[in-house]
Amino acid sequence: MRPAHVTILASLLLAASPPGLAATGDGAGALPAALAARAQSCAACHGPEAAAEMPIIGGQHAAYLYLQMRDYQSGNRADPRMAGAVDGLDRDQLIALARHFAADPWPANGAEPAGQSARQQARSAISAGECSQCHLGGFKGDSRVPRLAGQREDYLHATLLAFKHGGRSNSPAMADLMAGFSDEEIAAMAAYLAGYRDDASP
Amino acid sequence: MRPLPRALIAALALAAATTVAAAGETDSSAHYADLHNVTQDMLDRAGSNANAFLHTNANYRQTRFYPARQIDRRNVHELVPAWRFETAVDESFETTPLVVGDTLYLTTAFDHVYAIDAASGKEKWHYKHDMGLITTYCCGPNNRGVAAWHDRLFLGTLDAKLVALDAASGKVLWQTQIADPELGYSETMAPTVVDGKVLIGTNGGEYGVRGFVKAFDADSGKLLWTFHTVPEKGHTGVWATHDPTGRELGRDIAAEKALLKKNGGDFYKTLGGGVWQNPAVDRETGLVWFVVGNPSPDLYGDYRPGDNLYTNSLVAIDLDSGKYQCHFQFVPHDVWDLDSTSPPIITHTVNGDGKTVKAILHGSKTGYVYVNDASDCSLIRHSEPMVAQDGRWTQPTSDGVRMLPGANGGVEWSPMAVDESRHLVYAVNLHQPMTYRVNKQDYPHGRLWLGGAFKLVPGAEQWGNITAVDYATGKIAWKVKTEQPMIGGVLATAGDLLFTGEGNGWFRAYDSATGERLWQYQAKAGVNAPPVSYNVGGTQYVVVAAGGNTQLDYPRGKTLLAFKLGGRD
Repeated sequence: MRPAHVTILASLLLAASPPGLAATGDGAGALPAALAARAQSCAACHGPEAAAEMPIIGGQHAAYLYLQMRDYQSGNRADPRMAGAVDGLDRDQLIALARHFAADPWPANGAEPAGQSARQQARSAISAGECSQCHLGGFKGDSRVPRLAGQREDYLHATLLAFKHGGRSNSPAMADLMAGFSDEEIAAMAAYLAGYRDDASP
Repeated sequence: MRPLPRALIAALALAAATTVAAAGETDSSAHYADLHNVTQDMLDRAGSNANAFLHTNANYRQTRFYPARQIDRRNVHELVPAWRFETAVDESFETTPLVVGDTLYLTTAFDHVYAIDAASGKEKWHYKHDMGLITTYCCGPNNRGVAAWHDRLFLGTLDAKLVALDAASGKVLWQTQIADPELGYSETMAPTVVDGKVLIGTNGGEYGVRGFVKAFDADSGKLLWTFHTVPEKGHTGVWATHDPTGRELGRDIAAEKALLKKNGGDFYKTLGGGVWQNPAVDRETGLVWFVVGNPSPDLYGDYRPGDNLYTNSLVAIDLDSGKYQCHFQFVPHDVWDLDSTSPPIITHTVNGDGKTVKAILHGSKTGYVYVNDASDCSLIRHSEPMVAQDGRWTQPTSDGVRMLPGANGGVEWSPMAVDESRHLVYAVNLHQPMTYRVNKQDYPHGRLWLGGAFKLVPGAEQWGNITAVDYATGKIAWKVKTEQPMIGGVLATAGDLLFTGEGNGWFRAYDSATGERLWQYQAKAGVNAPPVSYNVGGTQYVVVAAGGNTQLDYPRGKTLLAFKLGGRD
C-alpha cells in the first residue's frame, strides 16, 4: 500500500472510530474493528512483504512502539507517512495498537550473520558504545528500548545514520552516541545486529 | 502471625549470638522461636546474629560483616557447592538474598521474587511482578533485593512501585506507585525497613528526575514523608572551586553565575540526584544516612549552574520526619558522572585530634573512600586513591576528552564491607578509561538525558581491584588487581575472610588481613552480586548470585550458588 492510501485510510478510520475507545488485551483478536482495520494497514507496510528499509514491528516492545507513534503525532520523530498513519488516535488506541503488534512473534528477517571483518568491527564499536547497557543482553531490548537483534539491516543502517547526521531527533542520547562513530562502523553495526545470533562465533 | 514480646526475642537473639561467639561456630536457631517473624529487635540485632541475613548489607550500619567463623581462612579451601538454584530470568543479577529462619528470599532482574529453602535450595514460591507498560531505567533491569519486616517482604520495581508481599505465600498484600516511570523513575534498590517505615530512594539521574528518599507505612503502604535530594532553594551551594581531596575542579564560576541569572533556578525540578542503594540507619541518633547520585544531565553542566546540591553527596535526615540534618558533597557540579552510589557504612574511628568518633564511610566512583564525622557530616579524611586518576576533572568538550576514572569507576554501586577489629574497609574498583563528549541538550521528558556521550576507549586496558583501606589513616593496607573491572560487592567474615566475585565467573575468597587468595570457584557466568552468609541446621553457607551484569556486559546467567564446607550435611 502506498503512503497516500495509508493517510486516506487513517482519516476514514478516524471518522468511523467511536470516541474514548479503551485499550484492549494483548491478543491480535482483541482489537476493536476500527483498530483492526488500522492494524491491517500497518501490517501492509511493516509485514513480511515490506520493503527492506521498513522496520519489523511485530514482536517489538509495546512501550517502544507506543512512544514512537506518539512522537510521530507530535512531530518529535518526523515522518509524514507515519504522521498520517497514526493521525487522530488517542493514547489508549496507540497503546492498543502497540500491544497488538508486540504480541506477535518476532519474524525471521532472512539476514545472514555478518562477515568476520564487519563482525569484529561491530563488536568493538558496540563495546565502546556500551550498547547493551540499554539494549540488554542479546540486543533484545525492553519496554521503551527497542529490540535490535534480527531487525532489518537497511532500516538499522538508515536509522543509525539518521541519528548521527540529525535526521532523527527523538532520542538525543542516541544522536550524541552515534556522532562518535564512523559511517563504516555504523554499517558494520547494522549488518551485525541484523544477522545477530546468540551463539555467533567470535 | 503474632510477634513475640520484644524482651523475649532480644534475650533469645542474644543467647544465640553468645553461643555462636563462644563456640566459634554457628548453631541452629529453629528451636528458639518462630524466627520467620522479623521483629524490630531482630533487625536491630542482626549484626550479631549469624543464623540469618536480615538486611541487604547485613545490619543497619551496613558493615557487611558476618559474625561467625565456621568457615575460616584455614578451612576455606574445603568449600564446595552445597546446592544451586536456577531462576527463570537470564539477565543481570545484582541481588542480595535475605535469609529469615530457614527461608532464603531471592530477587532477579525484572522483579521476580523466590522463597527458597535455605538448606536444600528447593523452591517454596515464586512471585513475578506484573510489569507496567513503560519502564525507564539505565544500567540493566536489575533488582537488588527485598526487605523483610514482620510477616512481609518489600520489593521496589522497575515500574516504580513498592510492593508488599506475604512472606509465607508470596501473595501481594498491597502495592503503591512511588513515582511516574514514564518520566524516568524506577526502582532497583532493596528497600530498608525500620520502625514500621519502608525507606526507598529512586533511580533516574540519567533521565532528569528529581530524586528523593520516601518513607511508606509498612502496614498500609501510605506515604509518610518525602525528602527531595534536590532542594528548591539552596541547590547552588557554595560555588566550590575544589573537590574534598584538594583538586581544582576547573569550573568557570563567573559563567555559571551568569547562566543562573539569565535562566533562573527552575532546573531543580529535573536535576536528578537518584538514590541507588540502601541507607544506613543510626539507631542511637535516629538518623538515616545515604548517598545521592549524579545531577541531570550527566555531562552538560550549563543547564544546571551551581554545586547542584545534594547530588554526589552524603546526606543525613531524621527518620521520624524526613527532615534534613547535614550533608557533605564529594563532587560539586559534576560533569563526569563520578557520583555516589555505594551504600554508606556507620562505624567508629579516630578523628584528626585522636578522639574516637562515630564516622560514615563511603566509597565513591572517584576511587576514594571518604571518612566523615557523623556529628556534622564534615570530612575527617579521605583514602589514598584506589584507582588511577589520569585527567580527573578535565572538563568534557564537544570533541571529546579522555577521563580516568571513567563513568563506571572506581567504586560503583557495589557495597563495601568492614572488619572493625582491623579498621579495614574493603572496596571493589573499576579502571575503565572513557572519552567524554559534551553536547547541549534540553530536557527530553523521560528519555535518556546525558548531555553528550560516554564512550569506552577502544583497546585501552581495563582492570579492577579489591582494595583494603585502613580508615583510621586513609592508607591502603593491601590491594589485589583483577583482570576485569569489578562490580558486585564484598562480604567480610569473622573467619578472616573476604568473599567477592568477578565478571569472568570466578567467585573467590581472600584472607581479609593480607589479601592472599585462598579459594575460588568458576561459576560460568559473571559473579557480580554481593555475597551473603548464614547458618541453618549448624551449617554455615555462603551464597552468591551468578548471572552477570548489564552495565559491564558480563556473561549472563540465572543461578544462585550456595557453598558449605565439604563433608558437612
